[in-house]
Amino acid sequence: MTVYEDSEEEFERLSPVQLWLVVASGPVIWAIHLVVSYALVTLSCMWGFLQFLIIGMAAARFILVVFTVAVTLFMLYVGYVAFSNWRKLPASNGDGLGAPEQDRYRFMIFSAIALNGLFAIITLLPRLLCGYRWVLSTRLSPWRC
Amino acid sequence: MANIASTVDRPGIDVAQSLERTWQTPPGLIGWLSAVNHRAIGARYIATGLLFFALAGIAAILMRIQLAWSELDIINPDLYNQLFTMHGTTMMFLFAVPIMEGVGIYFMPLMIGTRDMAFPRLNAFGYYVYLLAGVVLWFSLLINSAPDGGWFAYVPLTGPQFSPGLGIDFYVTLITFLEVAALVAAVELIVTVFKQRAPGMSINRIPLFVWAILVMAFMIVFAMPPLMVGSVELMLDRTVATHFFNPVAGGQPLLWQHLFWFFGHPEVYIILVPALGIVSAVVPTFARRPIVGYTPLVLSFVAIGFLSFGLWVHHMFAAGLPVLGLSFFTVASIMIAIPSGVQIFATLATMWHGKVVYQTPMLFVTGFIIIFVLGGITGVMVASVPFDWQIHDTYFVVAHFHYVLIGGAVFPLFAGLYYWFPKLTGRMLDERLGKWQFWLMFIGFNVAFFIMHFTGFIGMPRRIYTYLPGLGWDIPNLIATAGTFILAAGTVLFAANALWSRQHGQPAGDNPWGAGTLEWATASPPPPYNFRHIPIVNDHNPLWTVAPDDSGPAYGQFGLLHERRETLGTSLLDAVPEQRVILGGPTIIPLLTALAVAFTFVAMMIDLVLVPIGALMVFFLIVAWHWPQPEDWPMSNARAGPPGALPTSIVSSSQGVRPPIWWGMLFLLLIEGVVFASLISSYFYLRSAAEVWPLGNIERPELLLPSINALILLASSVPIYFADQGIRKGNRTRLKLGLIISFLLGATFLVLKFIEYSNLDYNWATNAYGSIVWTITGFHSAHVFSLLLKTVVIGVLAFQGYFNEERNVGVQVNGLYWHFVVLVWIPLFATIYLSPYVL
Repeated sequence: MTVYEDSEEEFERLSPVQLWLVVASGPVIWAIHLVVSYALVTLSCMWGFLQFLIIGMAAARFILVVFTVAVTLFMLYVGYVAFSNWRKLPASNGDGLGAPEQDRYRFMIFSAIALNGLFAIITLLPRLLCGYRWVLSTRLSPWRC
Repeated sequence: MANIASTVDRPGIDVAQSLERTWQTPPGLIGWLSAVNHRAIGARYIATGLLFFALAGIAAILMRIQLAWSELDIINPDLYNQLFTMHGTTMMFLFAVPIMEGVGIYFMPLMIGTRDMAFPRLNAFGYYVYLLAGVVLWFSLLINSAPDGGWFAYVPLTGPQFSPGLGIDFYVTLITFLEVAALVAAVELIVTVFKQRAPGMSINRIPLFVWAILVMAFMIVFAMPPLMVGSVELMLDRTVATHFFNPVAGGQPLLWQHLFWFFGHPEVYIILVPALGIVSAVVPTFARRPIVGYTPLVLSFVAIGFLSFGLWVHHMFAAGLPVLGLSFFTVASIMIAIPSGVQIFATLATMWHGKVVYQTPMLFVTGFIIIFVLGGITGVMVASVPFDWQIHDTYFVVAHFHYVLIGGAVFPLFAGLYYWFPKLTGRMLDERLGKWQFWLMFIGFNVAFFIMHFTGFIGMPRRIYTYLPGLGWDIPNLIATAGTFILAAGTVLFAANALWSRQHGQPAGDNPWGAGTLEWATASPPPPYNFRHIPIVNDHNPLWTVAPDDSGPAYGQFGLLHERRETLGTSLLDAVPEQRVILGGPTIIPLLTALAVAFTFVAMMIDLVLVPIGALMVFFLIVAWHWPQPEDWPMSNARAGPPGALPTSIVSSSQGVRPPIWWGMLFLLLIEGVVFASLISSYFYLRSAAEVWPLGNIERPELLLPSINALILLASSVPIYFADQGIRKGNRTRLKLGLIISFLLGATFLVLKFIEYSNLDYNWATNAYGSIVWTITGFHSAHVFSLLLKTVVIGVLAFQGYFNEERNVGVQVNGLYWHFVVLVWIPLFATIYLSPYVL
């Protein structure tokens, strides 16, 4: 992080590269997670691999759960970094007529918080909704294709 | 903004007249065909889109007449199949997307305060491609050879075995051709928004409609290439006997569905997002207050853009895919209701807090809210796998997507047409006729489509040309047909209103609605140069915070000359002025190029021997398009401007500012990247379904010669880099030497590739493995070949001394393309040559 001097007052902010990374990370990681998860499930069902049990759960499902939790935590962490930075920003005058660069920075950092939060929920939700089915399905059948 | 020149007019110069002379379109038919101005092209897109809307509507009415009662025999089954295919294809490809792009092309530059699109000639080219594709597609219906496999053209029905006629050939050829138009429009929309916004219009001050257009354009960039790959694969299956979708030879019919729906679902949002943008433009004006929740609305556009790519499999719930895999798409389909809901609630909150004036545009917005919410609710219902299995391919689905598409796109579009008609023509549409139109359309639409939910529940399937009596379907179908006529009456009323009001409507003035965005800061209709001087922005609704003033001094503002087509180029995030962008003027070459490209595509259907002739014509026309004119050669022209002026886009790269053409190439490469990614995905999809790979008795690929050849190609990037670095320092010898060496290395790659493939004991028609390997290699080799041609052109210019340390953007752009074609060979090489050894 660098301290910059804007036309109104100084504020601590992320570098441009960091800023773009935090803004884009939520949606991009969600997209990667979706494709990888779908490919894992499809190939496991098609080729029959990763169906041995780990702690009572099919290996493919275990990997899916660990992967989902990991990317969700990462998105939440990135959202937290953005939120911490947002809290340190000088207050907006609310009329959108502040120093242009400062207003734009506030807009982007808020976007980072919102997008990471939204996509973290979207990534985790299917696993939460299906949580009860994991228990049932591991008893009935280790891996339902 | 320290280096901006003074804004003092030159005495004795009539600025408006001078700008008019520079920006006007030449008179006469040739002048009309040469027009490149964004408003001329945008208006043509809108008019052509409405024409295709009418044609598709007539097809729909004919189908509804046939279905009005059981066992009617007004239309035969073959014609019915052609009609529902043409209806869907026209509505999706020839109406909804192009008209939204047209609205964007017309109004976006006005809303961001620039004088034209970044690439005006490309803009005209895109329009002519669109027009030609549409005309040829409808011509196929006249000769009773229209496509008849549905707008989604599922294989194997549309494969060579079950659809041997010309109909599907028309579909795959023209859809691929049409994608070219959509993609070039998307690239120029993105670059224009990125690089030509008015000073002060940082990304948090961009009008919501412009944000919507930007998101739509990005979605097109990622969604259209997979369809292009799919339609080319189907075309190859039909013309040169490849086997991408033929299961007997290792092909996979479901590959088509994946490629199609990876485009097809985002397509719905490609249509919806700009419509939401129109709503966001109309509502604040008629609620007399700024929109509630600007930032959440922007984020919801972005979120919709991403999420729409995570829904494609929900069109394939009944295709037998693993159930757990489907759950990802169920959740994504449900979750997209969140950003869509943000749009609706922000609209309602703005209306709630404002003082709403219910004129016609606002009526259509209200209709949009009601219909779109109903369509959204049934969307959440069909996102559930068990429910989808029950109503799949029934009229419930027909009702659902018409609620989404007509409610979500057509109603906002009419809101936008009523809202912006005064800006287009200088006259108001008739308000009384407008209200009649709204109520006819709103009532007619609901009568026609609401009952289809129930028709679907009681089991009526889609795409049947008639049905037996006694099933309980007669009355609902009769009601739906009656509703269609009421709906059609509403649209006819619009045509009458527009034609009458264009000549006799009440004069509008500059800003008849008292709106806040920049398009209302200029005359109605705007002059050819849009703004006498480039506006400066400090708010989302600049006209509500600062009084518009287009009468001030113009010459020298930001150093812009008015003797040639110049507009202001600004920085990506904060819209800080950084260059003067020089734009191309009127020329007939875009039309000729579109005709040549159309000839090439149609040749694919008629005789493949004609294809190289078409390609040669395209090449020479592209060279003529880009070849510098005599007045472009002196450096004094490239630098021309008042003292202290911003650099022109011809020389700006020498000062560290990338011109729009560089950004255009970047997004072209992004499209190419998606195309190659789609080909690689096709490869692995085919591989995943095969027990042995390569298929049949084909050996795994030889590695020695291809590896050496790959190294040769990789090495060719080095001299290109040195050529680029050399000319930046003014070293013309390094430039020439670098171009020659890289050309020789590229040519060597092609020769070795030819030798390698000549010695293979299989070809594209052997099986699906042969098809995908030959297609990927052939496509990449075509890129290398086009690189060589491009390098020859750059080389000729280099030997004639055109490039120097200031003017070298052509070399940079060529280098960018060269490095891409080289680098993309790495994943392709890994896929074709290495993966068979490890997977």
